[in-house]
Amino acid sequence: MTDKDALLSYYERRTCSAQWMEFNRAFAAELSAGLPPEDIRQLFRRIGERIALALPVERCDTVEQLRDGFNARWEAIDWGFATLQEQADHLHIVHACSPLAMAFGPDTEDWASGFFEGAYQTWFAAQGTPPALRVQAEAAPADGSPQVMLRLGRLPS
Amino acid sequence: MSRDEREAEDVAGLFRKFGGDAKGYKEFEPAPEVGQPQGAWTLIPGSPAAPAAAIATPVSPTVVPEPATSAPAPVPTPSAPAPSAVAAPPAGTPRELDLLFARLAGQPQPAPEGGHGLMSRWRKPS
Repeated sequence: MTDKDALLSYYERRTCSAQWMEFNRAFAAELSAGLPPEDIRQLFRRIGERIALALPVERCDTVEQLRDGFNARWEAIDWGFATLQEQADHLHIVHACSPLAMAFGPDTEDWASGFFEGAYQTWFAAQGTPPALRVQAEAAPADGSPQVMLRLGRLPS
Repeated sequence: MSRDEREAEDVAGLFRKFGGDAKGYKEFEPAPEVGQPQGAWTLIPGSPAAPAAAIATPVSPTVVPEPATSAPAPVPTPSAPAPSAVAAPPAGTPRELDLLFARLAGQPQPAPEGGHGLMSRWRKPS
């Protein structure tokens, strides 16, 4: 873990209030016990869609404008920030300092990241992405850095 | 006893029962009828009392006819646009984002503004 990751981890620990943390973790434990992971992931994806609809991003011309639009919305609700990086066949999205991991616990990353899939997919669709492009979460970083990795690209055939 | 006498007697009996004076009693005359009697709710098409015109052309709740001479009604304008994640329709010029999305989707790149690239103005040998 680098110094940057340590800093992010530090701030991430402060993203969920003590008032809600135990409730959220018990809620996550009940969800995990009662539903298969894919169903919970779908549930979180839909929650993300709702959040994105509630916090619309205006039409942007460039990747930088879009990133700033995303981050203005995340900043407004204390949900961290995103960086966007163009790659040959996809747009790489890194979301840092979200309260999700702290709120629901480290064992929920598999389905909690569905939230970001839903939110970013809705925002990108509003910007006019072709239907072939989907936002998908990537595997959590092996070094334990507190970030959610996603990609906007075509689904693997 | 005629019908009028019986009704008068009923009224007098009522006043006697409740301690009033029936001499001051005056019956209201029925209001003169204007137009057709309203035996049923004529807004319901097909009801027995509905006029034929109402059945043939039901009134649309959204269309309110106005006299031609009246001033146009002010159009209500919403104070703030409803929140929506849907952006405005694309303008004529493709955005940088449009080019990126097309590339990632494997689609042909949108043409630049007006389609006037360098080659489009290249003089062909005659």
